[in-house]
Amino acid sequence: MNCKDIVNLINDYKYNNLDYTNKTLVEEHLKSCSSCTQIHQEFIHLIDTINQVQEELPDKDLELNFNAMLAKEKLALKTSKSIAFKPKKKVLKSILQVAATILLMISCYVLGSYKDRASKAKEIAFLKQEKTEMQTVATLSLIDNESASKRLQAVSYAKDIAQPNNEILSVLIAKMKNDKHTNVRLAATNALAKFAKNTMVRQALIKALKTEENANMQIELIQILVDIEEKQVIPSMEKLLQNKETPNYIKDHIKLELKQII
Amino acid sequence: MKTLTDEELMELIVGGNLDMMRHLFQRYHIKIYNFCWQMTKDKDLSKDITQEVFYKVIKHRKTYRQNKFSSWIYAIARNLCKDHYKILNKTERLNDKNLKDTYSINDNRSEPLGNISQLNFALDQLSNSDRELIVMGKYQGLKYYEIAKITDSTLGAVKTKMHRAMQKLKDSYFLKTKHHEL
Repeated sequence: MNCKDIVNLINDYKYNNLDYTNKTLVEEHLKSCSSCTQIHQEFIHLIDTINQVQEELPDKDLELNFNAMLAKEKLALKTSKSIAFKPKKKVLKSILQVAATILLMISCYVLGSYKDRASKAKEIAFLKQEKTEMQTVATLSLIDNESASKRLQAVSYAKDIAQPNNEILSVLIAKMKNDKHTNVRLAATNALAKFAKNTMVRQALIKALKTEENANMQIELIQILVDIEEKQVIPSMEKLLQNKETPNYIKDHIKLELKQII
Repeated sequence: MKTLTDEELMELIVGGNLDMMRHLFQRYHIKIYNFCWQMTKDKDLSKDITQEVFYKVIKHRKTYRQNKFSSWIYAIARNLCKDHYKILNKTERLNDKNLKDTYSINDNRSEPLGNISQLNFALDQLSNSDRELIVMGKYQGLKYYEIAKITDSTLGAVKTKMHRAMQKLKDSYFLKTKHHEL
């Protein structure tokens, strides 16, 4: 082994990195070779010198700057976190927008349908009024028709009117008092029974019973007046009872009804 | 926290706990600063580079994949020093006035310090790659395998290069000493 090989080994030798064989080899060589010993000594000296080098301590402001930088980065991290959070907010915002749109649509629909209903109600009211008017006109035009069936139809029209005006009522009263056909009179009486709450109709009915001679009409009138619990009918009924011309079956009927009303 | 390894601390930092960076700073800032100091011989610059190293560790914490933190941080420091040389090469490093002043002051001092100034001079004669090997291996006591990782090299290559660099340093050092003695 020549000096060149030994020099290569010395590098490891000084760090105790050699295996036993090489270590002895180097040690043996160093004992006999002065130049290699010098090289070895030089290395040891160099390493010693390097080991003498003391660590430089940086100024305090390095740490201060570091702390400032760290604080800045922490802040940046926080803001970036909040930035990362923003898209979620956007999603929330769009959800709210969609919700608002749906709400708007629903409210529009509700408002529309409400208005629609309101206008329909108006329309219906208008139509009802129109119907009443038509029925009134029909009643008035048919009531004096020569045909008894047409007159009956007129009476039934009048009966259908929810709130007939006085003209209709007076026409009906007239028909009750006076018509060629008893059927028409009965129908008119029946129709008037429906509007018995009207004072004019009541008076007319009471008056009619007093003067009425037709048995059918008498029974009908008594029935209606008893049904509406009209006390004023009692004198007329008693008068009829005393009247000899009154048929017996009517008297019986009157007696029966009188019990009810008193 | 003191008992945690560098790698465990780094994991926490990657997870968003930036305060853990303080511990790593305490463990490494003097080493990194001295590495830069030996490489540049400029205190302010070394401070700036050290600051930059820790800034990069925080900034690029998500890219930290290496299993050894020390290798990573040294690699960052080394790259920053390299960037610095690239700029400096144009203005020539050895013309640095401060450096010459350091030598002249140390010349008047006692023997051991005189040796150190010779060592500094010898170190300066080396190429950047030789110098960084010696600073990492001999000054900072990094293991060969760590240096291999930092310099992206193999263990064998580092050993050989280190050996040659030490030879050069020794020659340069003793030439200077002999020159002095003469």
